[in-house]
Amino acid sequence: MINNLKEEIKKNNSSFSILIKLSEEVRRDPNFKKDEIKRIAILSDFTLKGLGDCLMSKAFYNDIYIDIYEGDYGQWQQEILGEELYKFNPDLNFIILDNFGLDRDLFYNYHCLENGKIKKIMNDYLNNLLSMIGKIKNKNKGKIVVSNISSYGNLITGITSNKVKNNLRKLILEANIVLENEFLNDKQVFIFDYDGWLGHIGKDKYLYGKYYFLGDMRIEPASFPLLSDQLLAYLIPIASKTKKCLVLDLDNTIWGGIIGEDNMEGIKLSPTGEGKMFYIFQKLILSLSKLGIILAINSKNNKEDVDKVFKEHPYMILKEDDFAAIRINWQDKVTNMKELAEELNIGLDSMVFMDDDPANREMIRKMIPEVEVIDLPEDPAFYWKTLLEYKGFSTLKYTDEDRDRGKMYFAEKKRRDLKKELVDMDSFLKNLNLEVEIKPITKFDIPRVTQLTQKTNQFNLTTRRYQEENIKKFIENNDQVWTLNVNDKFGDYGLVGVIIARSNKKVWEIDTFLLSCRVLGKKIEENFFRYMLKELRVIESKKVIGKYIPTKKNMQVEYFYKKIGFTVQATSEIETIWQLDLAEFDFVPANHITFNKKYAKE
Amino acid sequence: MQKNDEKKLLALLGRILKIAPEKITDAMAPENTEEWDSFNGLMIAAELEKTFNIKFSIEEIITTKNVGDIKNNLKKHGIIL
Repeated sequence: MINNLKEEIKKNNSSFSILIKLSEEVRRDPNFKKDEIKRIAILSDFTLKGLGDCLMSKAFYNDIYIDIYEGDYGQWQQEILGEELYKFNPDLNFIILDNFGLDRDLFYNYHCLENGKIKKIMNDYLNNLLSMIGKIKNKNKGKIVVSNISSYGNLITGITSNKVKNNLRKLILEANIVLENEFLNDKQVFIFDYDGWLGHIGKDKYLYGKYYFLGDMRIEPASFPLLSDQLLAYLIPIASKTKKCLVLDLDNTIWGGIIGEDNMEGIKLSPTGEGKMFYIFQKLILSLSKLGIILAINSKNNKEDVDKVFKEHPYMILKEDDFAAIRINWQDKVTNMKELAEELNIGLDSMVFMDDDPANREMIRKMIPEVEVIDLPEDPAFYWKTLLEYKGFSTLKYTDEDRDRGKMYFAEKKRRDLKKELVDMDSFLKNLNLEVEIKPITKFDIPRVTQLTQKTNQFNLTTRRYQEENIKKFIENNDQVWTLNVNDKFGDYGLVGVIIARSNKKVWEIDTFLLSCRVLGKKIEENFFRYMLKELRVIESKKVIGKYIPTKKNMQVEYFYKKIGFTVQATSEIETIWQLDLAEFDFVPANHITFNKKYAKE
Repeated sequence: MQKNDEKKLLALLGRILKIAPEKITDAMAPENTEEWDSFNGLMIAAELEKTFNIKFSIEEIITTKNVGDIKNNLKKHGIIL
């Protein structure tokens, strides 16, 4: 079912007043999930009224539901020093400042001020900003996004601006670098490149226009929808809506022309001339895949034609190995898409589809609304920009696992091919030479463990989302946080499973048990869990309580505890509570898995 | 075409001022319209500029007192209503 309100938002995604108007409907929409609300605060030293409503509409389009706290006009510091902000308890704080604009004497006097004085102005500014950020950090655990300092492009000193004793542009650049460095490794604070964004959309067009004089709008109202897009990029990972997979059409999408008609020599793809737009687009797609985005193909074509392009075309940047799953056939794209999701073991709502044909896009949109469909522009010269502007792949942190994900999925594809050859499941599993390491968390694992709690939907008994601070707290409390690493003859999957068991007086409570979908179907699930129970019994033999909290996506684990031998203690719509006495439990290791080979050596 | 531009104007005003477009009169002004505060006044100007691809002067925006003035301003910029 297509959501009409979402359609309406998409159609008007650059109109300030329509997005504001639609935000009223968003709040009333039956699909607005109040229990998933993220609380967003917007603090600023100038007028950003309406920005929050814009953001609310755009967030809704991305299945993100927000509540907005807009600080009083110009009072960002009073807000930070007051109480109201913390009562609202934001999950995300935006601080958008325009402190070095026309309202500051510096703009008019930089070239005649003493060097010491100007240094002091900059230092005072930074110190105040850092102390304000520190104040929020003390009282709120939400993320904090702070704009860097913007500067106006044209200065009174003109072409000698970088010859005068105090080069204003350089001073601001230096201050911005100080700011970035200060929070380089900070998990809570993020610097938004406001100056860069303004430069990108056009300072002359959007900064200090007429509305600045009419209503202190430092940036034109017309730019608010564009600013919302930038802020949305922070919202997506916080709401755990980051997309995982880019599904591509082939003809007229990653090369120009139709391979079945134009033949390999006729398609447009080259480092010079008309084919360059596709060449560059492919380079960018490959670059994206190195950030951990999985690539897949959904194309109507003869497989042999495409194979030939992959093998022989001199300018194909993307190779067959870069794609984790491929559907090149004559069946409809909807079926292909569903098969791809199944094969990759990811949700349809983690997938993004790019196709030059509007009819194909419409069909996917209608039939599988969960899949995000990107409207490629008519002119392929702008494909690459469309990809760069897309925010759905945003994450707050890249891990080493992300970088290697493409490789891991390709290894998985080879494993599946092997599965086709070996009919017998037991011999298939044995042939994999599975090795697992099950061990207590180390501090190096914290980012990955956090990420898994954020991203794992299907094999996740409780779906509790944690930040790094939460995980550290578990460790400090001496709760048992154990990790699972898996490798087999095709490659290393990395850290793919987590169990958090909290010792609660007379019982162990399984707070979290999850496994990344890439290791499912290898009979690792039960073995990991049983191994863990054995370890828990060594620490203290007592009763174990495990909860199953149903979500839309974790049906497959509804009866997991039953398989282990748990019995139901209580059940309700919200959760089922299972129990098992460790004294009555026995662990028999599976014979297709080697346990803790590496770990034992250490 | 003309009808269309008038429709666009009324829809825009109705949306920002939260009033049914058919109820909008030339006499409507900030004094008698609850939603017409200074922010919404600026939003009307900004959205008209975008919708009709024109640019008002600051003078034009400041001296606009009611819907009739808005229509006159649009006419000055070649929008026939």
